Amino acid sequence: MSSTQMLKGILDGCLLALIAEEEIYGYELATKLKAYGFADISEGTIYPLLIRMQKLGWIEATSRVSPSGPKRKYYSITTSGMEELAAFTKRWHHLSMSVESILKEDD
Amino acid sequence: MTLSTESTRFLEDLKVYLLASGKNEQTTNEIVHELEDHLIEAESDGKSVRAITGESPAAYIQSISKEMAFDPKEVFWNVLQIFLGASSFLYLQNLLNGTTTFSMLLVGGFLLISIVYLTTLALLFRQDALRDSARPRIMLYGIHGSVHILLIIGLLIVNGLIDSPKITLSLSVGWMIGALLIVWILVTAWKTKTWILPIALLVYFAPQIILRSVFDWSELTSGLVGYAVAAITITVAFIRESKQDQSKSSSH
Repeated sequence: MSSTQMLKGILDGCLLALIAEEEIYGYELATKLKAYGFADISEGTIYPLLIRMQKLGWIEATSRVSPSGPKRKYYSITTSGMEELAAFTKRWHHLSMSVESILKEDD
Repeated sequence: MTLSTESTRFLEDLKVYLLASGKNEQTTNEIVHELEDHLIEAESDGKSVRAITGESPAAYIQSISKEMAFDPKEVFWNVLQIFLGASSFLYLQNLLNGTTTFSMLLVGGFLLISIVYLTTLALLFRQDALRDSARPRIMLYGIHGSVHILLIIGLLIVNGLIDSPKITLSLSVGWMIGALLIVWILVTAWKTKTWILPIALLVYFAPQIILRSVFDWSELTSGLVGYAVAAITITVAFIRESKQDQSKSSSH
């Protein structure tokens, strides 16, 4: 399995975490993801996920004028998004601990 | 800042694919606008469209489409628009000839042909949006349009041969429906900012009305002149539009 495929499964949670930090727009979100090390993923990958998360009610979008001029869609997290983020964090900790312990055994 | 030709084409393909897949127009415009914003910033940072879509823009377009809901209301209005647009020529021509009797076979057949036309046209648009080549398959669209004209001619012939239940309107009701149809066409054209249908109706019917009322020409000859004037006007408008599009994309 490539690292891209592996990452896609956890991108939802990472996007939620970044949106929970502050209201953010698409390009900024993609740039932040890259800065955190998600360099293998093409930037556009976030948009289908953002559409899905809006449908699920985890995030909401507001269109407003950005400080640099054009009108942009800013994303913010909802209460149900916060709940999902908490559930994701729990799942991730459990998974990473399991993987860690297996890898340690191999060493 | 203007976008590169590649990015502009990607956004056009995305829009065509989503609309031809029956997605809501407003939601489609929103995602296209959002990606346009993203591409403007990305290009000013020296990135190409592939940095956004990955190696396959076609696969990326499909991944966006998969997340968007099918909008039956939008599809219904599009079918209705095509049906009323296409049948307006036939209806108004009959009205002009003094005929206000319409067979159920003709009305039903016309609706069916409109649905088939729109579905297959949407399929062609979707295929074109995912193709690597920038050139639309004009020949295929020509064949597609011609097949549907033949289907309509076939329907008219069959309708003349087979006796089916008929609706007869009084002349005043007929003209009232005709007037409502024209108002509806004008309102739709104004809303969509697309004036091709009212212009086509005008260049088709105006010569006929003048030739028949002023010069006393027959139904057939004035009809043929109307058809020729409409065909020439639409072809010229289409060529002008294509040339303008070409010069716009080459200036990018």
